[in-house]
Amino acid sequence: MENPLSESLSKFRANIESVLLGKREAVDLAMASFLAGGHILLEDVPGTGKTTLARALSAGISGTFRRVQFTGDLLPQDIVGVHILSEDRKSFVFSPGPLFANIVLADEINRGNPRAQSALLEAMSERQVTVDNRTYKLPDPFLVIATQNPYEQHGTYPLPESQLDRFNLRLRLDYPDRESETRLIRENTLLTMRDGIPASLLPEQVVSLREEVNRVAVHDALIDYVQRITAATRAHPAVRLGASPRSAIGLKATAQALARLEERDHVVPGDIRRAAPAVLCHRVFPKGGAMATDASRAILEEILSTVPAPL
Amino acid sequence: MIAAAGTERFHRWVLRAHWLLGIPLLAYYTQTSPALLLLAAAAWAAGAWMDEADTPRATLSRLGTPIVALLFLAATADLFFLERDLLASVSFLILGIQSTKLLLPKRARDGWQLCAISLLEFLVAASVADDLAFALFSFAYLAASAGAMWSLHEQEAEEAGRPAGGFVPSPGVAARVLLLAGIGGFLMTAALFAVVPRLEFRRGTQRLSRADAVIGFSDRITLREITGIKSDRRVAARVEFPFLDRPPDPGGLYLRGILYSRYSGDGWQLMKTPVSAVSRGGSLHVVDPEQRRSSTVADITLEPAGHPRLFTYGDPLRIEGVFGPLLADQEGNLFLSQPGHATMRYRLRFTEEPPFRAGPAGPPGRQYLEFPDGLEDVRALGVGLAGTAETDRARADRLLDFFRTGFRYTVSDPAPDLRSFLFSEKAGFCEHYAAGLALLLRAAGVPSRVAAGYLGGEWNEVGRYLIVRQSDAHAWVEAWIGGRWVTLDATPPLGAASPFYAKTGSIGLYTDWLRQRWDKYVMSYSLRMQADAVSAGWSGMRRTGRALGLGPGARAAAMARPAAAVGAAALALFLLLRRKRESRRRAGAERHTPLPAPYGRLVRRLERSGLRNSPGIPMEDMVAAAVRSRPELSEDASRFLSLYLRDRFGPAPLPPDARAEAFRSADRFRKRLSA
Repeated sequence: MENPLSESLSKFRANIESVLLGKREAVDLAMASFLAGGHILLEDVPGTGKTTLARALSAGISGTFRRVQFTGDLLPQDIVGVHILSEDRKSFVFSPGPLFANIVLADEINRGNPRAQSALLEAMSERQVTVDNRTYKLPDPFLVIATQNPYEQHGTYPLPESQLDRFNLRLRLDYPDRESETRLIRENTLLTMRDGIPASLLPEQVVSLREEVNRVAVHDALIDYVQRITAATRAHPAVRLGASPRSAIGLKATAQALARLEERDHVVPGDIRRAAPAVLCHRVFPKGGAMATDASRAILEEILSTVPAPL
Repeated sequence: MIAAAGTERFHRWVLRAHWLLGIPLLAYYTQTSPALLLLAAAAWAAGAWMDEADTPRATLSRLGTPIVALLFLAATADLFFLERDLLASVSFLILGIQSTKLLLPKRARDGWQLCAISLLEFLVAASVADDLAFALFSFAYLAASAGAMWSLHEQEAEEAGRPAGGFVPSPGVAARVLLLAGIGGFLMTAALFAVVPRLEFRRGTQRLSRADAVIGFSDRITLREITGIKSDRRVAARVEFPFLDRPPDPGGLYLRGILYSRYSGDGWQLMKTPVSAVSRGGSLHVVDPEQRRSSTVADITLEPAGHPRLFTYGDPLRIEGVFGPLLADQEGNLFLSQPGHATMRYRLRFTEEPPFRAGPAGPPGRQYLEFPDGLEDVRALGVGLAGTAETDRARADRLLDFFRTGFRYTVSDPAPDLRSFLFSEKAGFCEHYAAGLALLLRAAGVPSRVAAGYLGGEWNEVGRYLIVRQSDAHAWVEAWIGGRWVTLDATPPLGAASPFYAKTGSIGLYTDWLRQRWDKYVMSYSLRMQADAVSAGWSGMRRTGRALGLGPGARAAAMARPAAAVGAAALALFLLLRRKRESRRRAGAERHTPLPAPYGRLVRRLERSGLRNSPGIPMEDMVAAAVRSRPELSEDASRFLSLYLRDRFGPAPLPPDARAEAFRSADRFRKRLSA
């Protein structure tokens, strides 16, 4: 490995995997999205490691990490920050909120009220916040990892379509397999902190890694493939609202990052197929609404099997 | 080595079977001299025995050419000086050559010649045969042909010094080849049968065919011995009633073939009346132009017959079928213009109860009341029985009652003549009853005539049609009552008590059903259906033309034809363009640049292995699936895959040597996959 970045990257990856046992695919996708600069939505029942993954990702880079616990009474100021009168009482100074960090964990985002949610989501796409007509740039790298429990309905504000689209990736962590779970049970107590992993990437390294990801070659045939997949989600008869052009860009970028993770300088069709469910599922809205995640997964599988893959 | 010897033996016998198969065909289907056929069969057996025993036949071999020359001379002499029959001479020559060749030691060339002779015999038989059995036989024949070709090929290779058995198929492949050849042969024969009867050359070979057609229904019936007819279980006709929901009662179905109106002392005769052609349009013959409200349709298939009668039920209105002009005499007898026919199918539309007709047809002529001299006692009997009854109907009823008591049905010891039947013995079969009743009716002043045909039949529930056999032959009376011809039958209905009652087992019913379908769909259907389809399409076009205001007839046709041509051309163009666009689209979707041949071969190989059951599966997944089932391939696979992906999706084109290596690895992987 001639590239020192690659070495740090693989260390980073190994560290996360050691924390999150048996979740290799989810870890790869999360890392890919992180390298591509796409925000991540983690979705599953409690106790499957959503927060652990978020913390491990953030701990892996020696950047700042903040956590926002979303509740019904959370206000936008609580996230973004406020202007307060300075000590000399002559001017207002900005007191940055928890959003000003390299990695922000928005826990249980669907418990937050729509105002708080939209404050976060604006920051996610603009990478800057505006408070009282003054704009503040967010640090780079900036990544939001949100978690939500889809099975909880009471007192939640489900994210609307437009806001779901801001997330590049939706991951479901699912229960660990038998082997990993027994290992988990054996090795842990309730007090164990499994996210204390050593930092292996500097923020500057992340920035240059992102440049490398950007340089990973995508053949025209694969661009075409991405386009055909997203177009197919819109043309599918069971779909109410298909994937956006933003999602197509996200799919390409995630595939590039996956290729970079595998030390390749070009994307192959398999990368796109790997990334597609995580990138597209939450942006495909089947008709009928209820039980949407399962239906959209099935629709996506159908699309992936019918859209001819380039050979 | 043993297995190979066994295969060779099998080949030889298949070849011999092929040589032999023509002979039984000729024997069964044609009137070729049995002596010649026996000779050929004997030559076959002797030749086979000598070949197996490897008997040296050097002398005989030298004699081969002179014998053939001699045969040729003999055949020519026979043709020009003795029999003067071309077919006989040709069959003599061919069978002679065949016998000679069979006796001599054979090289591959002789094998081919014998196969050709066998094929010739097969074709001759095919040109005169038209039944299902022949088609099934051709199934076996062509399967044997496939085997024969193959073994000859092997033998030729051996003679030429090339290694024989270069291509040794597995028994499974061989069985499939034979089966396919057989099925192909069956279908080809079916097609042949649908076409050959319409071809002229059949007339030439028809003379060869065996005379096993249904005969009878001559111009005259007498009280002769009929046990032969009544015990003949051959099928004479099969009748479908396409629009009836329930099977009709066979006891009331009088299938009439001929009417006799003149009695001449010892029998009934056809009255010679002027004959005219029934007016027709295409395949539709209009017997009775009047429209009737209630009519029934019957699809009748007649087996080959040596008489020209066309059979009908009730009062025929229209007959639809392809058999040239249909002739009718004044009596209402319908017959074909040729003396006999092969299997023939037609659709009959008839009314069961002819309506009262007071018009031009009027009351029948005097001939239906004609009474021969010398039968005064019969006349007296008729007058006496009719008594004081006022209407024709009542008189007829009284006469029918007369036959109800004291008479018995018999075919074994019938009364020798009519008088003894009526007065003393009172025993006879249908013709006695019919003749007696008709004469008594005439004596009582009711016009009457005798009809002959078939009564009822056996209902085949499998195919829902009526099987009419020779043993259902019957004679009955038609009397002019109330202004129309009414069917009267004095013969006691025997039903299941009849000694000739036909009851077919279920296997028989299925066999007969197969036969009926064969006649319907192969022998007769194609032509009629073609005519139907054309006429339906044509009339539809005319209707459309009329609807568009193009005017009837010629103008519509003149417009329709170019319009149809333009439409067809447009359709063809559209299909062509669509196909082109489709293929272009597919090419664009699946292949950014055309897939190089080695990759294409590998993809096809993987597709054949079922590893690409949807177009969405990329090469990586296919290869991964292949490796999952055969882990030993993983090294080749990963080597190929990295080169392939770099070649197809890499940032820059591969250098030529790397590309060649990629192709090589693709081929190697494919070969290991097939191994």
